[in-house]
Amino acid sequence: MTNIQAKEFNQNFQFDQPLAPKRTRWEEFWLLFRQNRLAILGLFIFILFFLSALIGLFLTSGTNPVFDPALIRLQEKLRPPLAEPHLDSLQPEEVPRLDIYLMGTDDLGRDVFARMLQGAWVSLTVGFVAVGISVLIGIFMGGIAGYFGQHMLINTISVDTLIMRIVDIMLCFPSFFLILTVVALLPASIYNIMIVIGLTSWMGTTRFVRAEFLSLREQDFVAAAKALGVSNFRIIFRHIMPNAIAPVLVSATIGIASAILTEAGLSFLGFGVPPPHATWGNILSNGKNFIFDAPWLTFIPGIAILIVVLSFNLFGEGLRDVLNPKLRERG
Amino acid sequence: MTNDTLLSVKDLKVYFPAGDGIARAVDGVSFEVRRDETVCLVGESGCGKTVSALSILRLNPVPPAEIAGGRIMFDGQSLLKLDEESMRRLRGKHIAMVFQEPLTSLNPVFTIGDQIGEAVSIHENIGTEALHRRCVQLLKSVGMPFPEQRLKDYPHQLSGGQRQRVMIAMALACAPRLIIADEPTTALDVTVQAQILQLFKSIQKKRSMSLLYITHDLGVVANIADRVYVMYAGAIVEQGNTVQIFRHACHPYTQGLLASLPSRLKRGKRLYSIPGVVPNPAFKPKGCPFHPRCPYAEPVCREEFPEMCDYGDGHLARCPVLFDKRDL
Amino acid sequence: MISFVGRSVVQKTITLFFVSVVSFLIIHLAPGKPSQVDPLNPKFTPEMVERFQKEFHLDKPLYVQYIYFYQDLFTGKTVSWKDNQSVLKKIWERFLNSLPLFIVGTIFTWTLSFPVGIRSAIFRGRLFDRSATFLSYLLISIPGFFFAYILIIFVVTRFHVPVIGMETFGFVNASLPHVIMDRIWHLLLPAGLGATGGVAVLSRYVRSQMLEVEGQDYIRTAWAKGLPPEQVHYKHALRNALLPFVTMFGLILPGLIGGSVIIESIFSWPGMGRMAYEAILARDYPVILTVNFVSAVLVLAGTFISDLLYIVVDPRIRL
Repeated sequence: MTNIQAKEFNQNFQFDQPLAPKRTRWEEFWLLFRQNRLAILGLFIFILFFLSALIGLFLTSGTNPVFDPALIRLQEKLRPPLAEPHLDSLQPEEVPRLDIYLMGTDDLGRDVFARMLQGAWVSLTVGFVAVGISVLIGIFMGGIAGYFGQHMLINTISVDTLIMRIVDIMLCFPSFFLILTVVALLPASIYNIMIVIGLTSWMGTTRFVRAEFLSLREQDFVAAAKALGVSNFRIIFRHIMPNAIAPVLVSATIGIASAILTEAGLSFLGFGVPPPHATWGNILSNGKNFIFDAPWLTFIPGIAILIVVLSFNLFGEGLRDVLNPKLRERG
Repeated sequence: MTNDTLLSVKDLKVYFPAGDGIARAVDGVSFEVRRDETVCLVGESGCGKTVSALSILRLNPVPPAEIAGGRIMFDGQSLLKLDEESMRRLRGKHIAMVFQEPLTSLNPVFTIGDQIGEAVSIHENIGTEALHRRCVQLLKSVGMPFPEQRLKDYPHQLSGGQRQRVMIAMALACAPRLIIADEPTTALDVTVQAQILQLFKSIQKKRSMSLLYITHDLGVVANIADRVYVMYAGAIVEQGNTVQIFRHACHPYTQGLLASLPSRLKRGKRLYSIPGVVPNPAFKPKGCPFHPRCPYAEPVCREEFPEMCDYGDGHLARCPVLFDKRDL
Repeated sequence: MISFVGRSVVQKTITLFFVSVVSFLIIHLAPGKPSQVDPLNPKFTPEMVERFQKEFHLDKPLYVQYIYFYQDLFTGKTVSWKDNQSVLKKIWERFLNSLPLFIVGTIFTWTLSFPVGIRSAIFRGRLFDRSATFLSYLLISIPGFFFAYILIIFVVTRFHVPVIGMETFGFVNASLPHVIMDRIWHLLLPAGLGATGGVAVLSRYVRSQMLEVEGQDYIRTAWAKGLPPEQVHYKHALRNALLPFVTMFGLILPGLIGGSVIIESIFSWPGMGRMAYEAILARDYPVILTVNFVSAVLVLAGTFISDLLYIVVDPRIRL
């Protein structure tokens, strides 16, 4: 009974018990992500911010908005938050919608609550469009450098060398100073600001997309796809990109945070989004003139920016922790 | 536990959090190492043998690892009850460890001499001159050519085999009574593997110390072991001396492992492999953890965790089904 | 080693050339003219505009202008359009003003980040780590000028210490210790503010670097030898974790110009950043271009230094 023949072993076996419950990638992701309480908080605030920006867009735009951010009531200037309006001095259409100045009024008697609502949408678009531009450029340049890198252009200069030298050149400019210069030279407009922030912040994305592509290109699944005659285009977008997208997502989230901060900084220096658009940045920079008389004009937008940027950062870092397989293994 | 026993591990349990559950990586492991003997702990990767070994020196990172129960006695002291400072004095001095990856187990920014010397000077009061002589002598004893020059080298200047020799020299630094070697040859070339194994054998003989050798390679076990413990899914499934294990294997898992070894008798035949895979430590099957892969599985195997059955002479196996059939 | 230095210098010079071209193009292709040459500027007669254009070669094609400009720059003849002063001299003066701010800020950053980051890594997940983490996120996320105003209000109302400018106005005749104290008071707040972001980012980086190293096999080896915790953390782990920071030491050079625009404007600090800001406002092209050029030189010099430092500290790299 000690020497069992191999034959005897190779019978039919039934595996009546599953080894581990099957989970989709999303379930697994959520399982890990939900343990990071700060990141959950970040996601929650982010969603809240997104919704209020959307609602704010509807409530403050159009010819007869529910909350009019541009309505000037000089007799009601610099009223503190939660102040009741002086009904006797106001025309009926000038009375604030909630019969109260939720966040006070500014030096022109405009309702800060309405302006904050409008500004939320502007800050959000500036962040998303600027980062969208930089991510698109970054993926494009990084992808080309990583995938077609070895193609020679002129005898010794390869595509990769060319793109990476362009990145080096761009990195030589002090970024905030460059943005400031270009924004100052161009006519003031919200679109120019988004475009300039986007055009000056794609280098980081390019670098790590390239690195991802360089390593993924050598993997067997790409060789297998090539052997099957899959086109380069399809290999890049169907096979490599999904694997390289995680770090891009993380840096995009954090990029939005820093774009919002940059816009605020530009507004502070007087180069931000021009009126009549209200942004949190220009409410804040306008409020600095009244910091002792009307501190709410500084603190409301300041704290709003802080909370939103913080939520993006927390969410982004949470994503990074979950998506980084190295950290994940160590638990 | 006889007087002869140097290390005894009793019912050790080490758990890790895994997602929403608990991975019971080591689930009630017991084994003994006697003075001057070589004991092998054999099992597939992921069966918990490395975690068991690290627990002896309390080197598992806590958290996430959690020692959930059991007792580790070394030379009359209970290691799990020692305070951190006493434990630290024990490490390297009385129990030393050699790791699997010689490439990454040496600190890249310090010289070989620094790293070996440190292992000595931390536990002994020794002058610079004497320390240098000791290092040279240690390197010589592990068969390192040109030990004098090697002391000034950085790890990246050595080959994999040489680095493992350095690791062994470091382990020998304070003449410990027990060396734990965790798959020390796995990352090395086959020829170098044989040399390192030979080195372990000769050191163990010469220095009269105990060796706990962890491996998944039965060839190594046959070569080096006095006694063997076979581990599966966080538990010992069979134990005995080398002859008992290799000639009279009594657990279906051990039999499966041996059947999957290539040999001359099986030339031209298809090599056997145990069907299925090692269970995930977070989702072990109920009953005997091996039953889904076992050709002898009976209904009772799905319900009850099997007891150790004594075949006499120190030979035990955790399979009552085969134990009942032993005389047929 | 020498070939590495040579190659590196050549490569960086080429990069610098392209930077100079790009910055020149950005300035000159943008719509609008320098304020003093603008024909619409009422202070100038058409003749003056013409003379100006001649003097600064504005009537020539772009590439000629480019050559003239950098020729002047390298011979030190470039002058500001605003006040006709030598640009290099102006920059040098402002540089000297920015320097103490930069030095004190850097000292703050580096002396605070390392202890905080290392402690966070060693006590990962404990209270200290979690509060340090949250605090650094807070500091990264707060708009710099908002934070500056909060601090100014706090300091001014609480301690009655003037903090705007480099020194208190009309303080010239005071005794030397008073002047020094006054200077230090004025320096501390802007330098500290400049450092907050740096501390937050750098300490996070130190932490992740330490964590990465603490998970390595050789740290387990160090524990297995029986080393005391201090030696494991501060000798074996820290020595490895420090490697990337040596390279970062070169990269702080560009900080001399970069991040100080907002801080210097708030505190009316007459440094490089504010000069650059004023130059942009006045469309003073020679100053803008020169600041850009100098900062590019600093960036390239910084990367070069960090490459060299890496070779020195990492025994694995031998050229």
